[in-house]
Amino acid sequence: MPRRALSVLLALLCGGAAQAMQPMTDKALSGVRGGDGVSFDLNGFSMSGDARLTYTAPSGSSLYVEKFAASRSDNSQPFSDPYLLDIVPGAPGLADVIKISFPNNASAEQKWQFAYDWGVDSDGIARQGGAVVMKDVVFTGGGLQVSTPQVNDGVAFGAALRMDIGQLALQPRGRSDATEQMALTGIHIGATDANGNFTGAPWVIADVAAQPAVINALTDETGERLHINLDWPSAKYGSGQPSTGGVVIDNITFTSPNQAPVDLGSSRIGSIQINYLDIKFRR
Amino acid sequence: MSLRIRQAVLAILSACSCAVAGAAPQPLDDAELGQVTGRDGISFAAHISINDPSLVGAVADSRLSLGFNGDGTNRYIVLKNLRGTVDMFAVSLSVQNRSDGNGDYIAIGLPGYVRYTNFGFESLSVQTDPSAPVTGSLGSMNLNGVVNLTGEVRIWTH
Repeated sequence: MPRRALSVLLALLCGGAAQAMQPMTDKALSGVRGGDGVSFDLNGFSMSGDARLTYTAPSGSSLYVEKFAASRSDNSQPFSDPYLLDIVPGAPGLADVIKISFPNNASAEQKWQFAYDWGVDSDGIARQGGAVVMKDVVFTGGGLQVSTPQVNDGVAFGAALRMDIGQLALQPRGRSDATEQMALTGIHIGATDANGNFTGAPWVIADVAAQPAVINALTDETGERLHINLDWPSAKYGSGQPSTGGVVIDNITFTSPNQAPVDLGSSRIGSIQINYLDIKFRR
Repeated sequence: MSLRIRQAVLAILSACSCAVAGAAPQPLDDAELGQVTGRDGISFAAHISINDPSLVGAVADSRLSLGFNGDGTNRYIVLKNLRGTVDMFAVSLSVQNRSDGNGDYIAIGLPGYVRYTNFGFESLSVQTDPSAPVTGSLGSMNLNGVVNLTGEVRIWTH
């Protein structure tokens, strides 16, 4: 009897231990998930305000953008088409890659709206440039890569883009006044085939293996420089050819008060290949 | 019951009573109960001041450097006097159930009010000695004013 009492007490004590392992039912077990990447998305995002970002050159001249506004509509099926962040193996012999994939956004539900004002101040003359307004900006797939360069130090990155812009307008009288503007309507950027037709895929502008872009600091014959480079396409890690993209603008129109609009029609660049790009910043 | 077993039982009961006494539930009257609120996340606001030159003992020349070494020569991207003030109200953080039933997500509520005051850096340069005087500045950046945000960032695993 006493031994039974002891057993009961010990059982009570053991039962009170919070760390004790518990069996899981099938339902509970089915809720266990293993993941090796991160998904993220925005919901109900908007930005407004009067903040001004100013760049001032060593000469004292300055350029500013201010009153930046942005918003994005959401997918009707939350969590179904997010941004994806993964670390994936690099090409053989190359480092791993941080990969950010944009939403597929096939139904174009995720639309961005942007607007900002800008101006310059130089040689004692301050000039407001008006507003830049971008309506219905849709990113469809594409993404970013970040890794270490194949040679030298720095940050290697890749970028792929398919973008459609409903309208890009430069409005000197402000973002709420479209009576005077230069409007580029229906801008489309994406990958194209050999005939210059859009394939529907993102245009791979840079790839960490096949044609890497790099940002670093280097020394040339005139000193140290901040350096951005898009390397020659690699035949080892790619086809040896840069990918092909295109830009189409459906319509370009200038509008002024009491004037008939000047319709310049459309513009198309069917095939663009960036073979090599080298930018050095210097004074 | 033998003496040894009695002593063991008393010791165990004593341990139990001590453990239970600290967690014993207490009755609450209506007034106390009315003060109880339930929360499932946190919110925080912030006032951040970096390298404020107006403070006594302020550092007059601070550097943030990124180093590169490509051909045996060290080079640095140098930001001089990264400074400014940020007032932010408020970021929320919580864990929510996904509406599609596939687990939970971290919800980061974006701040409705962020004020930047003289936030930026005084010069950007590239040089071989990160502590040497800046002679090749590419210019400065500065951010002033208010940014209002709405919505949230949602994070989950895949």
